[in-house]
Amino acid sequence: MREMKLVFAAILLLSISTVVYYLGPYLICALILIGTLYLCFGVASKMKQSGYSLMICLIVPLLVTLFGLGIGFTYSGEPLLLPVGSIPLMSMVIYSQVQQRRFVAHYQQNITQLIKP
Amino acid sequence: MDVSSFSNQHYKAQAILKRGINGRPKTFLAISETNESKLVVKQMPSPLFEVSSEMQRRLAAFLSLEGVGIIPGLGTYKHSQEIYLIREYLDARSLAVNRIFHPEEVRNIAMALLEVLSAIQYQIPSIVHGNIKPENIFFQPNSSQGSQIVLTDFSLTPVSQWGSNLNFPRLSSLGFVPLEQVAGNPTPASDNYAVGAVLLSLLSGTASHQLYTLTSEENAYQYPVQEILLQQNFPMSSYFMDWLGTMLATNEGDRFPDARTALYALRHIQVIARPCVQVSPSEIYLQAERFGEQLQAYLEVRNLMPGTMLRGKWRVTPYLNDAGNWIQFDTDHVFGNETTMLLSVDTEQLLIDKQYVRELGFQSNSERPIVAVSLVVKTGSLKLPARPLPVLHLTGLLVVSGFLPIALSIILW
Repeated sequence: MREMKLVFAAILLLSISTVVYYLGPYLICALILIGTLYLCFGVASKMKQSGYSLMICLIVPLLVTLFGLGIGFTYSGEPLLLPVGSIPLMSMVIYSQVQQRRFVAHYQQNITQLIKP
Repeated sequence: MDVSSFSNQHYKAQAILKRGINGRPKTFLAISETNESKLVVKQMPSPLFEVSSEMQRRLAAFLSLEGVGIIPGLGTYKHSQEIYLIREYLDARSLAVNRIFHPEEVRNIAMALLEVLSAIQYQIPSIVHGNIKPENIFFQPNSSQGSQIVLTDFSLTPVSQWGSNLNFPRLSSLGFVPLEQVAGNPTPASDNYAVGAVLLSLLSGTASHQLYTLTSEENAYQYPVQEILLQQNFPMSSYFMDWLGTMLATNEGDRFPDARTALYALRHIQVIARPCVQVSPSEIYLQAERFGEQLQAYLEVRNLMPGTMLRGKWRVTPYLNDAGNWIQFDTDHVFGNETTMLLSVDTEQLLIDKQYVRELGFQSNSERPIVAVSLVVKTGSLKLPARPLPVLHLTGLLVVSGFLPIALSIILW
């Protein structure tokens, strides 16, 4: 009886090993894809909570994903894809600086109309 | 019809005081031929052949009435199938004057009126006046007899004057007659309802023929007493409002049963009572982190005086050229004895890194007409709102997405 159990366990282990050997890369790929989508959603919801607009909340995780894919492709021997992801991300950083300057300019423009203490 | 045609060997008719619906003289002034005293002659509501035993009983009771605050009937006489009632002429003003009475004045009138009614309700046989309205109450400010109030024109037919149609009492009495009296069952409590209506008309300055306009839309016999009295300028105590509400209860059973009970209840009631207001905090300090930030603070307004109702409104004291539009209250008006208000300050209209000191004033019907609250606002610097990025999640996303091309290249390889 005990020998029979050992035989069945060996057959099961062999079957799993065979599946993992042939389908392993596909499973890992699927897991990475699920993880990426989950983190995209997580970033978007966290940014929405912080008060960002819906458009920004959708664009930022997509750009970061694009940047991450660019790094991955560079590592895999396709370095040309790196700027494709990094340029939009950098433009967002620059945009926030421009927004701050516009904000200050708007204040300076209206300063005469503001109420004095 | 000439008024002189109503004269006889004892009375000389002089002037018409009131006409009936058909234009015939109903009440007129007459002079006694014997002692030349002035008299009032009033036509009875029913012709001679329709006088009921109940009316005769009330007429006899009315003629036997004596006492302070009542004009006694002197007798009757017949003229062309009509009966005319004679009473003394009173040279005094009635309460049907176009002005708002002070609550203390109204309280005195109520006390005097209820005292007179108590006297006639406790005599044998007891009489329900049935026709109490400002026109039938005379006011003698310098009376030497004690009571300043004189009641006239007792109704001789308080029972079902309007037949079975309960919706159409006479306009002049509309509002003063309770439902049970219209239905033909007057009681001493019915007079209390009329007294309550008189007091309400005096307090609100409403003419008798317009009093019915104060009744609620749902019930023509119901007065929203508190609502009406709170619209007046005088700070009336809630005890008095409750008392008047009981006097004017639609249901007879909810009213004071007679004038004496109502009088006893009124004796211990103050009519005017000013609320005592407490505002907390007395000083508000708000600090903004950045330009344009919306600041908020709570203000609590409490009335410490029981039996009173606090009413008031907030306003920002104007300062130089600043009207204070950047300071807002969620509701300007306070109505209640415990209210919490939300104060909002919009720093978008203010200069950065400055301190603003303003004064908020709470105007109310309390002992202190204005209560001041100091507001200090410290504005913030010029920077965009700090909105943190989810760095951990972004790093994770970057790393995980970076592994995707590597995994794909392994599969393809």
